[in-house]
Amino acid sequence: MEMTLIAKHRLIVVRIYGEIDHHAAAEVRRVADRELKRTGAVNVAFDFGHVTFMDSAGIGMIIGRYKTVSALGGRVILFDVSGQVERLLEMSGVSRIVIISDTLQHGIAEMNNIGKERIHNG
Amino acid sequence: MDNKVSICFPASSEYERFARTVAAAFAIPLDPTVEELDEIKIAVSEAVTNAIIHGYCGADGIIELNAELDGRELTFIIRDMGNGIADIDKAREPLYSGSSDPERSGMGFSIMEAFTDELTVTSTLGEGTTVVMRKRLADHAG
Ligand SMILES: Nc1ncnc2c1ncn2[C@@H]1O[C@H](COP(=O)(O)OP(=O)(O)O)[C@@H](O)[C@H]1O
Ligand SMILES: [Mg+2]
Repeated sequence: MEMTLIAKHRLIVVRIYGEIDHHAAAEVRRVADRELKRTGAVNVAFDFGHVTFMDSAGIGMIIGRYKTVSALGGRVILFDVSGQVERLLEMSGVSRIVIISDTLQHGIAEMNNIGKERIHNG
Repeated sequence: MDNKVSICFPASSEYERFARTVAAAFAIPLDPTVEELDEIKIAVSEAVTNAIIHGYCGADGIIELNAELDGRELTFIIRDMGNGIADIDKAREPLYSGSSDPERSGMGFSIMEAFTDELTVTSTLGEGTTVVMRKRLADHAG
């Protein structure tokens, strides 16, 4: 797992490697919560580009982080998500409460409300 | 070629990966699609995780995984000798979780149901739970 802080957006970016099951989700949760506290960030983005497997423990982990950052007025971004992971996000309704984007930049743009509309208008 | 495999392993979270990898390896000779393989891995992972978290509640225990092959139909049986389930219908409802852990999504049984062709759950309080999942792989064009 790798963590980057983008202070300008009060955002931490967590890159997850490998498989997210109940065993691995505990570690992602620990790192994300610790870094949110330590940095004072209120938004969290998860880089799914290197995730090779996810089950419902990942769903639970994302919903948990959603609750944490929502209380701070922040958002959850998931980017570079595989078709298989996206299917689980749809099934569970998680796709309706988080920002899902192809790249981090697009996710941040949507978070800052300069998503599709403005890009199209401008 | 019809065959059966039976494995016992400790009810410990680092074995979740082991169990789903074994299940996937068992299906490999049938040349499943990437999607079918992923569905098998997720479904088995859900059942095994439940046995660890809910069946044994983190305490020591043994989980049994049986895999059977009949033509292109796979059967996976996951059995624990743990707490058992009081109300199976309720447990199988989407988003229901009997756990006090707020990070359980309650999606496990729904996922097992969606990703296999048949899901049967039998359980006796104080004796344990058996989950049987059947999955028919698509026939190959070539
Ligand atoms: N092997 C098991 N032993 C005891 N209880 C179980 C078992 N499997 C599932 N359950 C019960 O069924 C509920 C629903 O399971 P599931 O759909 O996987 O959701 P979750 O695991 O997120 O709680 C669990 O919360 C638990 O109460
Ligand atoms: Mg479960």
